Amino acid sequence: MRQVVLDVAPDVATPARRAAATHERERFADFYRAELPGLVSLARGLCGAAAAEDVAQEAMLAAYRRWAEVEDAQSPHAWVRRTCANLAISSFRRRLVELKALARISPRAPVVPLDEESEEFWAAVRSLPRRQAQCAALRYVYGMSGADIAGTLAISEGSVKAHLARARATLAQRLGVEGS
Amino acid sequence: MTTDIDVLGERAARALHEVSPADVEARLSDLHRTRRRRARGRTTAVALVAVMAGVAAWGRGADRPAEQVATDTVPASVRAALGEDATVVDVARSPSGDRDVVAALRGELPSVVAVVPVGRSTATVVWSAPTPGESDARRLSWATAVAWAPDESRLAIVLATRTAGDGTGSAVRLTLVTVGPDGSGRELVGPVGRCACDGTTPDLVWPSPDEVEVRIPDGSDEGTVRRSVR
Repeated sequence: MRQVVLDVAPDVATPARRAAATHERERFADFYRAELPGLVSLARGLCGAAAAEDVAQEAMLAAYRRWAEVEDAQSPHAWVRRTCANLAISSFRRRLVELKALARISPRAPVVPLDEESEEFWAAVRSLPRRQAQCAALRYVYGMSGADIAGTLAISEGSVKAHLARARATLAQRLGVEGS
Repeated sequence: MTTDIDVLGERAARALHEVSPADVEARLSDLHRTRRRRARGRTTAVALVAVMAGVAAWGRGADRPAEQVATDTVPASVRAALGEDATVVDVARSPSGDRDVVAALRGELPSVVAVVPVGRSTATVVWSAPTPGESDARRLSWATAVAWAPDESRLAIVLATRTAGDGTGSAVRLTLVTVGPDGSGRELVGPVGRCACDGTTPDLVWPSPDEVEVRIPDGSDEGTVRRSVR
């Protein structure tokens, strides 16, 4: 091959630093594999099937961009779930995600529909006020306790209890079942 | 106490989990590709701002503000190493963050791919296109996309060669090569397709140790092509 060396570049990347970077990427990949399916479920529950995968992916991209900071956080899982829940519930940001989805490069698999009862349940969740919808989705998608939801959304446990109680009552009324 | 609405919610959540995406690895590759594409988009946007600022400055007779904006995105070390007249086609930072690999066109010189340590003004040219005197001038190649291997042991380069065309307007032939970051061990992986590359460039990522992905932006082979590299 033809090689023109303008100047000899010192190899400034030590093997230890490279290994550290590789391990960091691997840790993110493991985190991604473990967390993505749940995030897609959370997003689909909160904003519907059309944008769910892209909302989950946006949350993961946000985590990847600041992985060193996220990984050092008390719970990376809580961080990315909160990001996803906020992204899914914000109509403005969700619209941006949908626009980006239109320009995405690889096709998505066709959306698999839920059974009618489940679809009706999540539609009712989506009609709740923002915080109630987030609390209900985290409760059912991840089976979280009130304390876990409070930690994830960075709000007090008392608020979570109040939001969940109101959410249950509204959902029960709309779906015609026992809620309390 | 579990209520009827809880039972319904848990059942609805199980239904959601059952339809969650199975191909997580493909989504992980998408994530790396999206991040890279957006970085490139930001560079393009800033370059456009730079051009607009330059035109405005020319009208006012001000001192070259365009360059000040442009150097915010193309690393200063790359500019210093390759010269201010270099047109940067693509740049990728190594996973460890210590080095940039840059594909550039430099004035009268042929297309080059160089490795530039971050913060340094030195460059090692690891690939250089044949000059017009060495090759058929009608079939000159240039480097159009570059990427680092995850372990930084190799670089991937997509070479573009303008050809007579295939009757579909896809007149640019794309070829994938790999080379060591010191310029050693150049290997031809093979052709990856054709494109019109009309105002767009291919996208290249190396998401796993043994596979490289090339996104062909338009033309007869538009789409993502994967090639084994180990």
